[in-house]
Amino acid sequence: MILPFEQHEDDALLDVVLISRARLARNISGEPFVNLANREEQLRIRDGIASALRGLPELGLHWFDPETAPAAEGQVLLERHLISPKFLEPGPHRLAGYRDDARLSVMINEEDHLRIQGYGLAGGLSLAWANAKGCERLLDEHLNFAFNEQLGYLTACPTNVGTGIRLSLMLHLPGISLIGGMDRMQHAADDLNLEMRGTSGEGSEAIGHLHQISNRRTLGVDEEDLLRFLEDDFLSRVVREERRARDALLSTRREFLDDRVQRALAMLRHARLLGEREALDLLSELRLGIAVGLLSGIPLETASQLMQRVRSGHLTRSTGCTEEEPLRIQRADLVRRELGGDAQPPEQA
Amino acid sequence: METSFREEPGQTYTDGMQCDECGKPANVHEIRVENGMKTERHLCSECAAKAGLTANEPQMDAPTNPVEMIKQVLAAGPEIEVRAAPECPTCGSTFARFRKMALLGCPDCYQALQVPLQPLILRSQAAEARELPEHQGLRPSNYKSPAQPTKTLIRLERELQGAIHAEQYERAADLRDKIRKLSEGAEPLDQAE
Repeated sequence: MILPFEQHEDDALLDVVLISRARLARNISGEPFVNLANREEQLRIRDGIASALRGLPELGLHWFDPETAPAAEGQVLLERHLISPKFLEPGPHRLAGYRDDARLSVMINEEDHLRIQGYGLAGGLSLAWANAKGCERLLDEHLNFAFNEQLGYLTACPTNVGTGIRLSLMLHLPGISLIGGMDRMQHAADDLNLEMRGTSGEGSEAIGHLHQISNRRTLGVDEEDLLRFLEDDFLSRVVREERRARDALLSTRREFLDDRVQRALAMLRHARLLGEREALDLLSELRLGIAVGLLSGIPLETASQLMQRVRSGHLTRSTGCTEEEPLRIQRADLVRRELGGDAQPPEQA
Repeated sequence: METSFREEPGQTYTDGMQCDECGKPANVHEIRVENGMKTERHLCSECAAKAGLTANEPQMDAPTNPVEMIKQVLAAGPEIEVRAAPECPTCGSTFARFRKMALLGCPDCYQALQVPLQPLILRSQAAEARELPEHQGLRPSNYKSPAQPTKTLIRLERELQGAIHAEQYERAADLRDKIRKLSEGAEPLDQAE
């Protein structure tokens, strides 16, 4: 089977969609779920799945063992959304595999024995699904997944039972947010049986106007139907509303919007200390300014990438710093450098 | 008149029920359904023994084959059997544990705890539907579907359990008749067991 990792990305929705992800939950038949498995069973499950994955070199996976790898490495994978916060919590014997191009990752012994995650970028939900499905079908030939006729794939939490699929989109919605439309969005999502949450998943708040949206229903709906529903009925509507909100702000409150964007740029270009949260909020405004054409000369891609590179794990990896204060300095330096800010202060030059 | 009672092993069932006689934690639960009226008794092991109640079928004998299970329901006669606090025969998980952790213990829990689980799955999946939708989508490539009569029996049995749980006894009686009719028609399948 040819895996679609190299497929061309559609970038038509780049102004609103940051990441598309398709996750599949699977468990090994005849084994207890992770929450009940003893250490020996955890190891057997982990090694069985890992050995099947190692037999598939075409997946191009690198490995991450949270018990032996440095913590900073896990933080980077978390910030790239390749693993979940839960995966890094102390618990059972676990293992993650991921592609360097972030198109695929697998988590072994998170809540379920196996979680396969496929990724696409802007509007790449179909690609995300194709990546996850490709990996799942290859594994299906080597592993015996728990399944029954009525309920489909059996998962540790009944909210995933059936297809075990969670399609999610990371959306940048500053326009809807600034015109006060988030409550309405929340209701619309509820009506469509979709879950809306903050940046880092369940229970987290939305930093930098980033929102994660995913399906709730997993039973009785075919994966492809769900995908079409999310793309056609939901995503296209949200993108239209977000663009409309941005246009409305631009035509009726141009000074207000321009002021916010220019202030954000000035802060980012001149700040000497930047916290993670502050940097993300400012970069969100910057990204909005670029998307609506108030700022020229800075590519949208630069703003999107910075929103990841200013995260603490990424900074620790690129600079070696682990403490808060030096990280704030490094973060401000990085942003100034990338956005053409003023030179280093003389004493540091 | 049929009664059903069942002993809970050890501390796994901790819903806080107390023995009706002595106030100690109750681990034998008897539920009688007669002419649509339900009465319950909750006793500790000692008081249950004094009252002459013992657990009915030991766990190892609990049938896992759906056809056998349905036969057992039918054998229960005109009164409907209600089983309190089921426990997964494979991993020992109870519904009380699930309520605490929001996680099941093993794939077999879906079958063992289906009565209390079903309304929860319904609620989390599709608020407006009355019955669980059937799985659509990918399947394991080596999975073989059960024969059609068995599938229908499994579905009817599940609906029956749901009706009993919701105390809709008229509907339950209808379903039981349907199951009876269908299993008579499916004689070759039964004999094949």
